[in-house]
Amino acid sequence: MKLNSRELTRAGLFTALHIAAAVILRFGGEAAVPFSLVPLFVILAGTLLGPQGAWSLVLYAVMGFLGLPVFAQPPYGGISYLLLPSAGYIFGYILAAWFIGWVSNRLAKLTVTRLFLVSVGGLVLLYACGLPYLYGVFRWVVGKQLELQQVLTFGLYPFIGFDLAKALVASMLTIVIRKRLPSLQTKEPASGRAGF
Amino acid sequence: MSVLRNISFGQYHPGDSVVHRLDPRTKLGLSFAFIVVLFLVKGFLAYLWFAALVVLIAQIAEIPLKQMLKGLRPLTFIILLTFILHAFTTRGGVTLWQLGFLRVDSQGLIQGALLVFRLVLLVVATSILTLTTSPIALTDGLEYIMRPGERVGLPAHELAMMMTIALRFIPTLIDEADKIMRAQLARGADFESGGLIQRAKSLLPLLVPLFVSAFRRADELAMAMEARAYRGGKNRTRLKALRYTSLDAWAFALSALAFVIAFYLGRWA
Repeated sequence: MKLNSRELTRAGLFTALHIAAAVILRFGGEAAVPFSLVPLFVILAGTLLGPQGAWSLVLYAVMGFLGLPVFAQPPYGGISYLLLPSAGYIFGYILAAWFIGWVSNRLAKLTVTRLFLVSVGGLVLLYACGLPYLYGVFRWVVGKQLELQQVLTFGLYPFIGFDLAKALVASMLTIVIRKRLPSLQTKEPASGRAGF
Repeated sequence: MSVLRNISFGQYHPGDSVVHRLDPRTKLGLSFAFIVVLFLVKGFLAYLWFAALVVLIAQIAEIPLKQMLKGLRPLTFIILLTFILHAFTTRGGVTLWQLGFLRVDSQGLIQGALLVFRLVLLVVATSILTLTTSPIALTDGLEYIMRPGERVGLPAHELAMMMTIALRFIPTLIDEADKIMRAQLARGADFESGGLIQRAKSLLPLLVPLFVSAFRRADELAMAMEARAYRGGKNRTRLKALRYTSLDAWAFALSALAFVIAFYLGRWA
């Protein structure tokens, strides 16, 4: 898999955006944003960058697990983050962004409804990674076997409403942002020529 | 939102100690080896040995112990949970305390303490890596380590380049978000009141300019890179080439010795 320089810089900038989104929330931004913005940016990475957007989240995960404090929740980074029940979502982000990007690149016409449905598909994948991981951490790290109902109470119900709202906001944002950026409207693979 | 201006990103603790001067590849490799060994070895003696080494390394690297222990605070919950669950569920040894169906055995306390000790070591020891290695050095080291993955399609150089770009642009984007927010506030935008839907809606005038400007920066950067004939990792030279020194050889040798001793102590216990 080779990335050209434009895909590379865009993915790099998106990683910076993911980190900024996580960091803003951490530093007293809670008054302004009462929920994590990262899933919103994950969906946008897919709908705006295509499957290459997943690289921005691969990098986000790599940086976090290396020990840079980039995640939204304490301990913010480090290999020990893997021991937390919510670490599965980090891997889910990658899969979700890849799926959303892959499908939305194949849509003939982008509409809010279609993008929303694709994003919901991505969210399904996100939870398909996150929930078994949560179960696994409780089972093997903490040593407690959870019932399905408990897994859903910890990992799904508190977030799914927000995440559906984020999917809707992301779909609307995609249309608005794409309109502002001529370089995103043509489907030609980006060469060095910037579209501004 | 003026808090955003004062974010110091990263935990890097600058210095010029022996630990700081080690090659980032050495530190990455040894951190990984340490994690593996830590999960293979079990026993208080071995863990005490590791704890002593961590304190020693912190002394050499001139990192205040307080700063290293700071990384533990967010994990308090999971540490306590691990201890309590093991204390109450592991059976064996002498029963120390019983109330109805709740029972604490001596074996449970030992098991709980052992696992907590391991968790603490894991967090504190791996934080040495990020405390003594600047993010840029970490990126360089990572690129070398991922290089074998290029054969199976892992874009090692590209990922390292992306990481450099991301690190460079995090403060810029946070600054920009702050600036856009102020601009919209000046136009009467209200980010802090209203219901959830109202607040989500009020994010739109913040996020649209933020993404548009991120794209503009990315594309300008790509153009600038291509104008300088950037073409990826092949034949690229660097200002600060990574070079192993005798220091690294010593680090590898001493760590190997430390690991062997840990295995010995673990078996003996």
